[in-house]
Amino acid sequence: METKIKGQSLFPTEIVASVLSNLPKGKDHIPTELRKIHPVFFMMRNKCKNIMKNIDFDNRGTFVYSHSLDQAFSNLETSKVLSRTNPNLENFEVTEALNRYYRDRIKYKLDKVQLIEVKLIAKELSKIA
Amino acid sequence: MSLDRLKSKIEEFVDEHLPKEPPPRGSRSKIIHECIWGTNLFSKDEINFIDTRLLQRLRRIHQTGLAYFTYPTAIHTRFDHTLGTIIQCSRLTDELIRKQKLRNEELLTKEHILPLRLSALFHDCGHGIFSHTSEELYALLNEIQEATMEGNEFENSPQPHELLSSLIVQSERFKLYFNKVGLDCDVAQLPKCITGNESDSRKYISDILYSIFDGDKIDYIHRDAHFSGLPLRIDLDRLWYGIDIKEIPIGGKKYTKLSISHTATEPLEQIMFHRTMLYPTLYQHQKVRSCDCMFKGIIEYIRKMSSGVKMGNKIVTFKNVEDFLYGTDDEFLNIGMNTNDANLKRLFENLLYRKLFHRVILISARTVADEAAYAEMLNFRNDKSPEAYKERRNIAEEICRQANNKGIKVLPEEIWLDLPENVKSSRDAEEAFVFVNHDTKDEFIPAKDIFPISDWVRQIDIHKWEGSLFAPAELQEKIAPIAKDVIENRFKCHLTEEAFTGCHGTVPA
Repeated sequence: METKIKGQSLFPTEIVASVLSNLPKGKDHIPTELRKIHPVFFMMRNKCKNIMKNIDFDNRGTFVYSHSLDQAFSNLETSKVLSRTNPNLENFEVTEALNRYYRDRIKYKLDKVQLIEVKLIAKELSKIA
Repeated sequence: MSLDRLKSKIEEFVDEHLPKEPPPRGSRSKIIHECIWGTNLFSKDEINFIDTRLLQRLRRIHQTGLAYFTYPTAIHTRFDHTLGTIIQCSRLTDELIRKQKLRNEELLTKEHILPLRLSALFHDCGHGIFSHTSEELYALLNEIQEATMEGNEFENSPQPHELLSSLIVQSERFKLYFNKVGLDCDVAQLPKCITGNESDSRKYISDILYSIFDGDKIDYIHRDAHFSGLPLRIDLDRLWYGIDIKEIPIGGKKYTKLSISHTATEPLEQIMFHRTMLYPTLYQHQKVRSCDCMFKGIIEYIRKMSSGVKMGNKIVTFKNVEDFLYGTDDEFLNIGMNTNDANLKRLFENLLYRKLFHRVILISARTVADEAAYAEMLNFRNDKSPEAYKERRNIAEEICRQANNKGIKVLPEEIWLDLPENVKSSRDAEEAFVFVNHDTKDEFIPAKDIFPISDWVRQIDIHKWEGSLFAPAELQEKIAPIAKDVIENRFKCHLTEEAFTGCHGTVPA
């Protein structure tokens, strides 16, 4: 059976988990609105081609939407490694569960370029935090 | 390059499915009766299209794929749904035109009715055998993957059957017939409506066929629920009362699109809730998914046969998109009746006589003990990703290999790790706007701020989403311990007892 080795393309769920886990310190809450999150990834897709090459985007609506990013956030929430803050559930909160997932199961797969790109997106995403 | 090949194959397909000329004496308009929307009139021009092979083939493609092996009355077809979508798009358009007239506005007029009805007529003509069941497979083929990449013709990633419907109505052969029918309608409007690709100022036109309020959804929610015996209804009178065309300022731009009054949000809630309910109850019922996997197993088996198989009057290998388009459900099932290959015959007969795969492992938030392991497993919950599909097949093949080593006779095509895509609602909840009328000015509120559909769907996903490891029923107890080892090793996790007792099996030692 194949296992991922360093530098291979990542699944969207792994990309999102990596980005969230690399948000700058003190910026561990981001809004849950797709309208705010997806355009950030879209804007960064050309600067971060290595990790973003398989992420689809759809411009037909009133904001740039990505099915794969929607699925990725949903996967992280369903597995409870990503949670929302009470009481209004309008923010994602990066908790130890997500950091542990990144540390134990994803980080070793990232090569230098991928890690730089993850951090670039994280920095951009922190602007809406 | 590969999209060019697909386009040329689509030309051939359309050429075989449309006559050279419309009927010499012309068709007459027809009244069609059906059980969901009653009695409706279709014009002679529409009948000139309806009575072609291109649309008649939809009579033999089930709307909900193989769901009828689980819900015995779910035998409705893409053809029924196509007529229903025309009826609902028309009804919605009539209502919007009536409101426009009252205000002396002309954004939508009776001239829009024909292109919208024709778009609805052809919106599903690109469906292949067993509808979305086969779509999960041809979506992964290179041509579809390439066509939907950024910079390419379908970069907005419409669903693969929409992409095919769009290519069909854009084909030269289609345009030729369209012109001979002599309609006062721009054929270029059709693909825009089918794939929801209208400009910001004309979104309301494609919204009628492609939005949360569209005639397609209204029909399939009623129809799929009715034929599977689920009591789900939408208050359509209230929807028509509340819906209107509005210019909505969003993020510094203006979009002219459909919106619903805050006094009539119930039907919008019903559409969103009912669509969500249909996933765990019907589309992703574990026995429906079991049949889907049996179908995929047959396709995978045929792909390995060097000579292909005969479906209808074509030899197919299912390595090309068009192979899924040429056949109908009955022609596909006939392959099993006529084959001399013992394994293929058995795979078909197991499906036809409902000797369905059993669930060997239940995968859910309750059965995968470690959250990070569960997250890693859900990586593969994306049916549009060839990588995720390949990885799922690798796991199934490893289970098969280990089973064969222990003397258990099973084919790789009989073992499936099935992690169906979950239902999503956040985009719709952010794209649908409710208007509040303040005398001369409207205020617009996203649906997500009116009712928390996304929170509800998320809870459904956490508590009700289920994946499965399927295998032949008679091998359930033998495959379970092997599958347990492979899954636990691959994902470095522990499966709880419920993973097996939830399948009415015994917990492996």
